[in-house]
Amino acid sequence: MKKMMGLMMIENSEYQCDNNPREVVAAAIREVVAMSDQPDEVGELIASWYSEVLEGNVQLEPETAAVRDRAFQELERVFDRMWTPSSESAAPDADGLWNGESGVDK
Amino acid sequence: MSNLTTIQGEDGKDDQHEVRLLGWSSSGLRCPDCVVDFRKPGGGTHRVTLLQMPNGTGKTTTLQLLRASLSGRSPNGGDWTNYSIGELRKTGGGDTGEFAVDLLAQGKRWSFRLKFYFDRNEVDLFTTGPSGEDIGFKPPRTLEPFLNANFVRFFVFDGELAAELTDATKQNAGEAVDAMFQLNAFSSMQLWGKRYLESKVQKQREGGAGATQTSQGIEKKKTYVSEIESRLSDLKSEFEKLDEERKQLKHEELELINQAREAVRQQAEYRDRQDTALKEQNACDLRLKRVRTDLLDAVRDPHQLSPAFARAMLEIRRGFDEVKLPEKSSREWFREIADNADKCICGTTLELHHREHIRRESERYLGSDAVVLLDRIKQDVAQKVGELPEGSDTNVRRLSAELEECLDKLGRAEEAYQRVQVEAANENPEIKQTRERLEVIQQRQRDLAAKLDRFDRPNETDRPRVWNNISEIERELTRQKLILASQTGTVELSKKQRALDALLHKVRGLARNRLGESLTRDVNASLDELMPDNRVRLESVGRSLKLLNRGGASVGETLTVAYSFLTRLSHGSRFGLPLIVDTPAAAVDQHIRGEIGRSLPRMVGQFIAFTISPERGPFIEALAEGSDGDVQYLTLFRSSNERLMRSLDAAGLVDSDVRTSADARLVRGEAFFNMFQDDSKYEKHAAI
Repeated sequence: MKKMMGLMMIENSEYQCDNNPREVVAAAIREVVAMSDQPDEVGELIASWYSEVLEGNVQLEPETAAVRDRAFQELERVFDRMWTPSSESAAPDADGLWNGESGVDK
Repeated sequence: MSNLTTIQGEDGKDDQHEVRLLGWSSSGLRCPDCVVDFRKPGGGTHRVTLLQMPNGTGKTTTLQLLRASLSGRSPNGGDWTNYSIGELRKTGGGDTGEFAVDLLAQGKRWSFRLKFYFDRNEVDLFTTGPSGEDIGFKPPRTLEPFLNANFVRFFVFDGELAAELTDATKQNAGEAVDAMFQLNAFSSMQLWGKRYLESKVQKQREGGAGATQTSQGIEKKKTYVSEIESRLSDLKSEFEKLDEERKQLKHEELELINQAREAVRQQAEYRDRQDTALKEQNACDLRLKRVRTDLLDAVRDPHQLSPAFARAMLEIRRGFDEVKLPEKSSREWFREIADNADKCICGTTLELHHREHIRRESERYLGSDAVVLLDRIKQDVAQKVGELPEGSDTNVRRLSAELEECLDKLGRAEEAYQRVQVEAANENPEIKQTRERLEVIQQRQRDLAAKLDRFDRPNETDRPRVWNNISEIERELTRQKLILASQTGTVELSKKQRALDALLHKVRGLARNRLGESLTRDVNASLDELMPDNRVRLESVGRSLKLLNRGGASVGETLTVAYSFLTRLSHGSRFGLPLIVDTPAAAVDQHIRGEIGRSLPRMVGQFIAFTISPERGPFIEALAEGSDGDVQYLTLFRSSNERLMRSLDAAGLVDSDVRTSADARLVRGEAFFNMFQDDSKYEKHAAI
């Protein structure tokens, strides 16, 4: 259902945000999230983060404690709202490595 | 500090996101000592500045130093330690030299200064911003995506870049889109996600959670995961580059094939033969596809490959029948007796030890799941193989023969087509040339295929550094990350981080595509105006610019596309950068110079052209027209040229129009600009 809504969004949004690159990118974010299993809110948070980067309010490099803390805060907000992906197995896929793995060798 | 002593306060007229070049100063270097100023007396910068410099005045050196100052890198884009700075020293000059550039960005003035010490082959970099002078190249962070060696070539325009933009082996166009719209932010977000997970893993370890593993073991696992990640990233970037080149070559190959076909079609004596050969080829292709699919389906049944397999399968079925399988295999039936019956089928009353014996012995018989499977096997053998093994391979033999026949026919149709092409090429040099180009492209495709082949080979060692198979590496990385997450108790977070990573990766790709589509439309709209009678248009913006009708694009047309791309890029971005170009009209076709001259100032906020006297005329006039008269005319020449010095004296200019340095004169004003005649003979500009 969510993916169907995502597809509808893509069809309806085509070229709507022509000539406004920031809107083009924001639409791309919304579309990708709409097509995923994650809530739309995650897309809004990523879009807001990108917008902050453009404004120069979020520094991506170089790393300082303050920059790192700010980025981590943003990430915590995103992770808090994300759903744990269900399609991925929680356990390693073979060889008893889950329990007996030494953590050293491949 | 900069030598620009006359800089006035921040003008406040420029938009917050406009970047303007205020001027530069130079001393002790190969280019003349001078101070060049782009500011208007009343504030702001001139929309267009035309800086006329005769050849030999140091245009190339000045442009190199501008790029170096604005990127913090040496003129060749590398580290200064690998650059011989003696090349920049003024002939007969002193032991030091200096070049400084002043910018206005977001309403604040920034100065980037290079101080050269020729006697010890060293250079010091200084940055002066709102908080004073700092050692090193430290641009404001909002400008970091633009003030680097890669991007600076886009606005201190390097003529070679025009060709590189359309070269599929280069990534310049894609990098420009990334930088201009800061799509690299998504990669940074991915990196932050990884760091966040790492910090949580570290905290969990310190807190003792998931402490079934030793710290040393986890550390080694982390190193191993990093090694895999690093290898994956290198391989992906290499693969993407090669794949892009492959697509471009495929595109060029198809274009050339079509060109050659079309040219042959124009020759009546070959048209029908070519059409017949192509028709036969298409028919063979279709039939080949069908036969291939049928054959692949057939060989999935072993008995169709050989009667020997059919015989063996019938033997198995007969064997089942002989031992009465699966009817005899009834573990559940024995259990039913052991659990519920009062008496055995032989009439014996069942005691506890009888029941236990029956249950134990029932394990020797098959359960209902195995019974179903055996039944299916028996049915399938009966249905598909029948009763006799002989002739079971008839269908595969027939299809194989048909496949051979198809391939043979296709080969003959291709030969017929090639024969027509060769004959036509022998009579028509244009077709011959197209076919020669096609052969070059096809050879490059074969070379590239050999390079791409290694990405499919299995990883044979346990050292990630020498792995090549991308999908195998991705699977191994996921597995190793899950192991690490389980050891450190961060499985949930690890899964979310990977999900976010995948989302951001897709976002970046989709945003790139959408921005590329939007730019393509804009650039083509601009080309419709600039070159309405010309077929050269942009097909797409990827890593490089892909041109429609690329084969017919002249140097001037490619340059026009590059100008349109750069100006539309700047126009679409929220950052308005200046555009500084060396002899902008030189390679542009004569009949479109006016249009380009008019449009350039409208697309960028500040246009600075290094020009030479033969360029004057329609292009310069159009530039003035496009800027609504907001043009500054400057002429810079060496004072060692006596003829030019005499012409300056004869012009009778006032002192305020002439700036004098030890080895040059910088003259402001349109009249002197237009009367100035460079007497040097330079072949490369003779045709202008």
